[in-house]
Formats: sequence, C-alpha cells, structure tokens
Amino acid sequence: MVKDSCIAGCIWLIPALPLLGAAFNCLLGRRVGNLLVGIIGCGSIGLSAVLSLFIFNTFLALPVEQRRIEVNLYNWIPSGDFSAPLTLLLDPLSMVMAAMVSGVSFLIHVYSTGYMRKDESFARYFFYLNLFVFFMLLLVLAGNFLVLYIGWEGVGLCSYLLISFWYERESAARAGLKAFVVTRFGDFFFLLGIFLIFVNFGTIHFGSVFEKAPEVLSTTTATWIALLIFAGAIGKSAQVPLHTWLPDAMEAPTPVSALIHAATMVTAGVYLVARCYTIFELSPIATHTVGIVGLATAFISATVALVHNDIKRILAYSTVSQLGHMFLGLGVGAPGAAIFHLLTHAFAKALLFLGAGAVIHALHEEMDIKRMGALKQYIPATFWTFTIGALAMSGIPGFAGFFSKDAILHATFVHGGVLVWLMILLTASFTGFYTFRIVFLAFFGEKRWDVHVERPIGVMTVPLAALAFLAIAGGYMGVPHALGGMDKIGGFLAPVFSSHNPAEPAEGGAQAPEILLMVMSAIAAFGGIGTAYYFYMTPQGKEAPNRLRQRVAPIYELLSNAWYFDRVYQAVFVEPFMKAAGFFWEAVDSSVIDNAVRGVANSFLGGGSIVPKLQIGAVRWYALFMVLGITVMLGYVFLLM
Amino acid sequence: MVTTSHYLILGSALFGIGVLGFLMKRNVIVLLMCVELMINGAGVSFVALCRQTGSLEGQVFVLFAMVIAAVEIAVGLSLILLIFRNRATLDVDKLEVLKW
Amino acid sequence: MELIQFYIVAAITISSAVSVIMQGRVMYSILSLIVTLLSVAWIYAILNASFLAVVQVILYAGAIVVLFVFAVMMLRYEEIEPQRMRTGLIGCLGLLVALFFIFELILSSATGPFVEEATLSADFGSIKSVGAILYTQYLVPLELASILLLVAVVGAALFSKRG
Repeated sequence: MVKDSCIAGCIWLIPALPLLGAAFNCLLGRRVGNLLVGIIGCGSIGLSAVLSLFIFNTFLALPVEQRRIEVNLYNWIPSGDFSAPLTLLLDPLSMVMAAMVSGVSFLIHVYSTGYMRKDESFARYFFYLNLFVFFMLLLVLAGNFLVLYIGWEGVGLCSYLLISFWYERESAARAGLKAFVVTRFGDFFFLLGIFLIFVNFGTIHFGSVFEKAPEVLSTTTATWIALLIFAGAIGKSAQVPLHTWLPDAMEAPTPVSALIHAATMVTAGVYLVARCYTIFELSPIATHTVGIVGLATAFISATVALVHNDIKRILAYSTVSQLGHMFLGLGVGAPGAAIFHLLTHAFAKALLFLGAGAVIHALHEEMDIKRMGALKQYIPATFWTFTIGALAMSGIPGFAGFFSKDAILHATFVHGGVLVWLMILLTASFTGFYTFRIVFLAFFGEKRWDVHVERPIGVMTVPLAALAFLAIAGGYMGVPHALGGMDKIGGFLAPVFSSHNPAEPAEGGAQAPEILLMVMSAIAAFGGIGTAYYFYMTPQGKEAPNRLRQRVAPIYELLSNAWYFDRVYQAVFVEPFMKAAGFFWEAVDSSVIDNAVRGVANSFLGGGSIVPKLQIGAVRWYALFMVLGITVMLGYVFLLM
Repeated sequence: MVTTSHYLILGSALFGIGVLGFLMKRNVIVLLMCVELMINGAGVSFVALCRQTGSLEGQVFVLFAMVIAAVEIAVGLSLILLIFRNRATLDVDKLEVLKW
Repeated sequence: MELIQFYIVAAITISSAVSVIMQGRVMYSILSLIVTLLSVAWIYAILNASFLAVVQVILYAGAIVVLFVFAVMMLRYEEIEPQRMRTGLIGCLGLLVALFFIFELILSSATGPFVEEATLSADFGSIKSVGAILYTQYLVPLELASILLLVAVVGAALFSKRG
C-alpha cells in the first residue's frame, strides 16, 4: 500500500515535468542561450523518463490485481450529472506506453541538441518538442476520454507546429496544414464516438465505461462507437485511406519524424484501440474492419516503400506499413502482440530515423538515396546502428522486431486465415527489401556525392547506440512460449484486455506450427534482404531493377505515385473544394456579405454624423432629454396598466 | 381625512416644480436650488410612505439624501465660484465648452 | 382639523416653491427657498418624523441656505449680469415636458396601490428610534457618508484656493 500511494503521488510529475520545460523554453528560451535550453529541454524529459522507469519498477513489484492506480488531480468540469475530472490512470498498458514515450523522447531530445545545434530557432524547437511530450504523456496516462482527447488534440497541434517548423519553406507549411486537416478529419469522428459513449453510459470514465460495456451496449451501438473511435485512430495513425499526410510530414526536422511520426504520436491510434479493446471485442464488424484496414495499409504502403528514393519517405511508408501490422494484430484479437510490436517498432524506427538523420546531416540535407553510397567508411557508427535498426525492422531472428512481428503473424495465422497470413508474409519480405535497399544504397557501393562529410557529434551517436541496444534487447520482453520464453510483456498487459486470454502456453502439438511460422517469416525477411543484395550489391544484379521496372511499368507507375491516393484526393476533394471556396469568395462573400457589412458600417457612419449634432454641450438640452425619457417611460407604464 | 396619497401628490408637485424650474431657468445657482426642491419632494414622499408602512428605513434614506444634498451644494457652489471667476457668467447656455 | 392643517401647509409649500422658480432676482429665490424648506419641515413634523423635521431646519434652512446666500453675496452677481435671462425655446419645450411629467407623477401618486396603514408606536420617528436604526443597521453607510462629507469639505476648500 505504501508503494501504491507513493506511485499515486508522483504520477502527475511525469507529464508535468515536460510541461515545465516547455514553459521555460517558451518564455525564456530566447534569452538564456542554446546550452541552457538544451539542458532544460533534455533534463525535464530525462527526469520524467527516470521517474517513469522508477515507477515502472515499483509497479512491477505490486501484485497483479493492484496494478491499476487512479489519481484524481482536479475536478475540471462538474456540471450536473456530467463530470470531467482530470484523472490520470496507471495500468500496465499506460505504464508501458509512458515508459516508452518518455524514454525514447529523452534519447531523441539528446540527439536533437546535436542535430539542431546550428538552427536559429533552437529554443522554439525545444519548446514544441517538450510540449509534444507533455501532451503525449497526458494522452497515454489519461483516465477518461476527455483527458485523452486533450492529449490527442495536443499532439496533433504539436505535430502541425513541428512539421511546419521551417515555415519559410512553402512545402513544409503545406505539409503541416495537410497533416493537421487530415488528422482533424479523423478526430471529428473520434469526438462523435466520445459523445456516443457519454450518451450510452452517462460517463466518460475509462473504468466504469469498460466495466459496464458488455451489459450496456448492444452489438449495433458497440459497432458504431468502435468504428467512430477507429476513424479517429485511422487519422492519427495514418492508416489507409487517411495515410497520405505521413509521407508529407517528412518535411519536419528528422528527429521530429523519429519522435512524432515513428515512435509516439502515430502509435496513439494503436494505443486508443487497445485501450478501448473491450468495446471492439463486442462487435465482430469493428474488429474485422480494424484487421482489414490494418492489412490493406500494411500491404499498400510496403509496396510503395519499395520504389521511393527519398530516404525519409521510405521510412515514412515503412512506418505506415508497420502501424498497419499493429492494427492487424488488434483486429485478429492479439492486442498484447500489437502493443509489443508498437514498442519494438518504436525503438527500431526511431533508430532508423535518427540514423537517416545522421546520414542526411553528414551529406548536407541530401535525402535521395541514389545520391549516397559508400558512407560506411565515413560514418561507421551510424552505419552499424542503422544496420541493427534495419535488422530489427525486417524481423531477423534475434532482433526485437522478429519476436513482435512473429506474435502478430502467429495470431494472424490462427484467427485470420492462411490468405491474410500469406499477404503479411509477403509484406514482411517487402520490409526486408526496402530497409536493406537503403542500407546497400547509402552505405555501400560507389561514392555518388562530393561534399565534405560532416561527422555526427557525440550527443548524436550516443542515443543511436542506446536505441540500437533497445532494438536488440527490446524483443526479449516477449520471447514466445514456443521458444521456451515467458512472453513477459503479454502476461503483463493481459489484465488490461480483460476478457482476452493471454496466449496460453502452447500445447505440445501446437508448438510445431508456431516454430514453423517463425521459420517461414524469417525466410521471407531473408528473401527480401537477399533480393536487395542481388539488386544493389552484385554486379550481375545491377541491371535487374531497371529491367524489372520496364517489365511491369504500370505497376511501377502505380507504386511510384503511391497508388494515386493523393491525386484522387486532389481531384475529388481538394479541387472541388477550392472551386467552391473560390465561388463563395468571389460571388457570395465579396458581393453579398461584404456589401452588407459595408452597408451596415456606412449606415452607422451616416447616423454617427447626425447624432453628435445633438451633443451641443448645453446642460439644459440634456436635462430636457432626460426628463423626456422618464416621461415617456412613465407613460408607457401607465399604458400597460 | 388626509391620506398618504395627499402627501404623495404634494411631494410629486414639489418634485415637478423642481423639474420645471430646472428646465426653464438659466442661472446656475437657481438650477441648484431646483435640485434642492426635487430632493425635498422626494423626501416628502419617503416620509409619507414611511408612516404608511410603519418602518423607519425611509426616514434614514431622507437623512442620507440630506447629507448628499449638503455635499452637492458645497462642491457645486465652489465650482460655480470658480466658473464665475473665469468666465464672468452664470448662464448655463453660455457654459458649453464641454462639447464632445 | 388635520385636513385644514394639510391644506394650509401644502398651499405655503407649493406657492413658495413656485416663487423660487418665478423670481427674477436670485436673492428673492433664496428667500422663497427658505420658506419652502421650513414648510417641508412642518410636513415632516405632521408625518411623525420629528427628528427629521429638526434636522431639516438645522441642516437645510440653516446651513445650505446660508451657503447659497454667501455664494450670491461673494459673487456680487447682480452687478455684473443684471438683466433677467430669457428662457428661450428650450424653456418652452421644458415647460411642456415638465407639465406632462408633473401630471404623470400626480396621477401615479393618486392611484398607487397601498399596503394597509400600519399602527405606529408612540416614539415613531423620535431621535431615539431613528438613532437606534442609524447606528446599528446603517452604521457602515453612516460612516461612509461622514467620509463623503469630509471629502466634499476638502474638495470645496481646494477648489476655492486654486481658482
């Protein structure tokens, strides 16, 4: 109990510290110099990370049934039978997320001090970044839907601010706007979902909603709520069909892409669906939708990643694809596996992005992998850590991504059917191909650039190394039973997904297929890597990509245009909207509304030039008007009587 | 039989004569006197209604009104003194500098 | 008996009030004002407000009117602006409006719905009863009023010095 109250007492500090850092950097950042800004920015997150790891440690010592701590900080909107207290909730799910978010954020903050050290708006950058971490921690620690929604919108806002960080570049400003509008579109449905929850439950408190969900909700209502919430998740987590903002979001500084658009914010959707898993379970339609969307996203964006040349865009499509994996995991009834994959992906993808950032930094803002090459000799530390990230991403046995992806694949095979499993297997080999395409094109081969290489400084390499360690070790949280492991993470998270049974120790007979599946997925990953090696490393494979491109030209066109999503949206939504807006602007606004407004203004001007004539400064006239007014009022009263 | 209405009518008449004077006269000092008439008219009504209802609040009000009247006259007359020294007139119609 | 008394005092009040506004010379107006104020004190006395009647005589007829007299005498106004000021257009309009206003006031006074007439205790309106309520229930306003008076005295002194 002592530990219990100790945790409850300091939960609020986890989000509060980044907020303090943000406030400091916002108010004083420009005066105190970059060194102090960096120290405050990293220090606040670092303290918060240490604190959350400490709490995590204490938390693990609690018995399972006590691992659910709620803190009511402040009763925010008490209104009739509605109340929205500022509640923080600590259960295994939010604990894992908070630890991951604060930890990865800390590493990325440290990296940023090196990456952004020459930027003029250093303080502004750290203000946004700290603010983002605050909102993200608020999101994962929220104890009711409203607090979660605040965090949800807050991270969206920070994402917008950071994508448009270099706002003098028009493409960056546009990309920020696009990200904001597209995710906002999803948020709208999420908000509707929250309303629907309130209508049905009379409360928005997580605990009571999920407890009462099976009795209160009919299947239809549950489907509606789940689909609305999922629509929000689609927007935030960049799933098909709202995924188009994420590749554009790569206009942001690279550490931002690592933090927001790989490790944390885009996983908020996964977290949300996992959090509401009780509701999703009530509706087969909703779960199927989640699975199908996840599968489609995973496949489509993996194929697009195959043909792109911009290193950050490849990683962005890869992120979308991996998020698709997570939703697939949720859809096939393995939320634990999805969260596990979320964690390992966060480590690996943050590592890849930071590594890509180091490469871009080294070559002075060069992002085209066709114009890289032979960097291994120049920046070896980056090379090794990047390769570890790529191995983890591709799902090579022994690295983190392998275990988590395998958990999803296994669940897919059991609940989703062989066809889905095959598609995911194909996607896995795509993943191997495109990640190693980057590795081979950027670090090997001949040198295709001629600038002075800028080596990453210490504060940039240390976070890389730390993430590389996590990208290897992170997987051992969840070694499956089939390999003699304990699946600690699955067991740890299981109480959150109440009715969901954690993967039980497989029976002797069932063990064989799981190992077989692992072997298959490893083969797929190696196949992808091998193909990449053949295409880009061997002399006889040099011409293969070109030949293949000519052979399947339509498909290549389809892929390099990202399945025409952007073009279609442009034609169907943006252009008609712009036309309508133009019409309303010219025809309605400037002629009707403006003239009406001007007419009103002119009438006041005209009236205004008459009325002052009454202000003659003569006291007796004023007195006369006063008495006249009183007389008229009295007369009116008499008339009424 | 004298009823409360009698006194109210008397008070109203006093008040009304004050208003009439205020609107018709041009001398500032007389205007101040008209204000006194109005205050007294209101006071008569207060005291009459006071007797009607049997509570003393109205009388207290009149007392305060007298205080206000005294204050008003003290400040008002000293202002008039100032104005007269500067402008050599007491005609309100000529004192219209405070336009706009 | 009371009725006759009322009519006498009412006649004196009204006629002296009219005289206040009809006189051409300011000094005569002031003299008429004294008559009005004294008759109002008489009305207070009839209306069981003996304390108020005394205050009326002391404060109004004593202090305030003296202030007026002083002002007029200090200004020696009649020597500078001797001619009678004509009331002009606004005066005619004012007469119209004010008469209508008086009509409405009197109408409302005559027709107002009244509560039952209360039976008064013997010392109603005496110094003791008014003082009791003034120094308990209305203590704070009383103190504020004294501050207001102080401010007025200081202000008046300041104005006349600066002039």
